[in-house]
Amino acid sequence: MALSLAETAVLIGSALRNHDVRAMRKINGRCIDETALKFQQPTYNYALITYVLAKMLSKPRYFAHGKAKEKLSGIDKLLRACESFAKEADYASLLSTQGKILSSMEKMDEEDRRFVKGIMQKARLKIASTLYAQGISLGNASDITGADKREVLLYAGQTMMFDRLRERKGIEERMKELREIFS
Amino acid sequence: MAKLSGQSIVCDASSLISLTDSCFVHVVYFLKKKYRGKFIIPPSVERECVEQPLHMKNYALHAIRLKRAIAEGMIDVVDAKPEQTAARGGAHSPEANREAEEIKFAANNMFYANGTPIRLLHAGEADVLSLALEIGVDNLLMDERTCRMLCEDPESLRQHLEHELGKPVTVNEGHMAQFSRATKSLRFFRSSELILLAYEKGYFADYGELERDAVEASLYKLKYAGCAIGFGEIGDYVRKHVRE
Repeated sequence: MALSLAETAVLIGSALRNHDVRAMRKINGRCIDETALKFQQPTYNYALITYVLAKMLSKPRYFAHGKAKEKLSGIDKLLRACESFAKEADYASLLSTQGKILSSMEKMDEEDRRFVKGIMQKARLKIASTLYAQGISLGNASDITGADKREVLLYAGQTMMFDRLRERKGIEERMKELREIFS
Repeated sequence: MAKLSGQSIVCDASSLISLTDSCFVHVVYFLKKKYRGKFIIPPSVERECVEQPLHMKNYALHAIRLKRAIAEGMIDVVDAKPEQTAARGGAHSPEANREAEEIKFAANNMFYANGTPIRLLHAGEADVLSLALEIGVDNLLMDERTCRMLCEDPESLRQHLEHELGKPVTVNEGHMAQFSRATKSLRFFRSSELILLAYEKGYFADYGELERDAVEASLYKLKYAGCAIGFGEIGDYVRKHVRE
């Protein structure tokens, strides 16, 4: 059953306070599934937020030091605001608050960047790749998440998704047709 | 527009991305010398694969290779839009845009979950399908999996969606029939098959005794570059047709 936007905010806040990476990933999975069924910006934003928070909660450099702890506490407060706005059906404020959470996380990553690709980019890529693996087209997955198509293709190539769903028409049949065309 | 050879092939962005990422754009050059057909892309694919990545440091080289291939006539950019068709002195084709919209609508209203249609296909993918239909080219080079499956085996795609999303996925039979009717003449190939065709025509002959190793390695390289082919599929084919 789909979670409401308010329920999702509550669960994310709870997972954050309890440092529960597993719960955070579970919420992320649900948000991605909901996005595949029907794209809604607030749900997609939660998918981004939960992906990034799951990463942050599993890396001490994001939560062990004073400033980082403060920022995560700030994010918790913003999540409570998300819950209120969602209950009031004030979606403009909800989106704006989610935007603040995403900006805050992006700043945290920028302050101690280890890779060329930032954590938000990685989040978009991971969500797009999951959507593609689930059956959404590459173009749609890339478009709705903002992830680069090339990156999604490259990422997909590293996975087992093409073995998990084997197409009815394989190389042999396609080669037979191709030889006939190019004979 | 002059009638295109039956050996022409419309390419989408995913196949060009896999080919350039694997440094196989010269397979297109090689096959162009051997066959009468054209490699065709719509303007949207040119934008995606050339214009946009030219400004991205990590992909600019791929874009330059494709730009050169277009400039050298290895790949043709074809616009099926009415104003261009008219400018060429050809017959008006006001159906071009409408056809793409109809294809996209049928595809995106074929499967339902929780009473909501699942939006599967992007406008760009529908563009490629409609271009092929508009210019009478039945062959498509497409590494992207969903669009291919929608055309070739929609029921398997429906089952896959159901399994992945954990919800029943129902079919709008009318839209499925409409989509199938529109696309039934199309034949799909992946960059993997293009490489194998090139191999059969001698592309890897220079490798001498390493030829078979090169072919097998190329297939895996394409797979890792995003071509929708599995390890099992590659292994089976190589065992039967390359290594035997």
